[in-house]
Amino acid sequence: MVVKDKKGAEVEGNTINLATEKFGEICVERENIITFKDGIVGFEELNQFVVVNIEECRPFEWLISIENPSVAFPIINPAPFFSDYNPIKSLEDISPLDKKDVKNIETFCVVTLGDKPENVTVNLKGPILVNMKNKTGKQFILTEDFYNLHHPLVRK
Amino acid sequence: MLILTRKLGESINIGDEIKVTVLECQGKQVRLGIVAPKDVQVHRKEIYDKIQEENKKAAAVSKHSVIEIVQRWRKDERKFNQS
Repeated sequence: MVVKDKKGAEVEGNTINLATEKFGEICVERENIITFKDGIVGFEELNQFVVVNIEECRPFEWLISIENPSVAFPIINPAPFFSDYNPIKSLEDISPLDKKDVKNIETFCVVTLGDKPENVTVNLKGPILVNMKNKTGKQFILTEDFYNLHHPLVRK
Repeated sequence: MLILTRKLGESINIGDEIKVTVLECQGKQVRLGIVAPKDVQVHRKEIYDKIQEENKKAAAVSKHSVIEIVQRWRKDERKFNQS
């Protein structure tokens, strides 16, 4: 039996089918859904997302909205590119995440593209932190001036 | 919009937990001190607006353009490995 939730997404037991604009229909595990209580900056009304890893896009991943699957942000784990980047340390408070739980927290940065493929930039100013264990996430804004909205992503 | 006039050193309270104090006035610049609960994020508005704009741009990025970059990288990697 196919059940639909109030937004029209199909619900089948432990998985949910999303009709995405960019990737067609994809099936995600319910347990992988991350709650963003405050949404993503500019998308405050969207509170549930999933990180999707598509082989041909790696090392980029996608943060896709469950409530509006046409919204998908390209994101990247900044660690291999920026070894000094440590937003958890920079932030005084990371609630609803917990600094004590740092081993379960993953950092992602939103990617924007320039006119040429080599002009890929990442937003180091507004990192997205996700506690992968309790599936809670939030986009933070760093106050330090040296973190850039358009930091060039140069592959090592 | 509520408009209030404050003198140097005076404050306004927003609810029970947020306090904004005028610390310094110099020409067109005003320094404010803000006391707020830890879970209230305080930002310069223009930075928040820029992040919002960046997120909107990112949401418009297609899968195709990401794949194009990845393919370019992988090609460069092969070239690098051969040389």
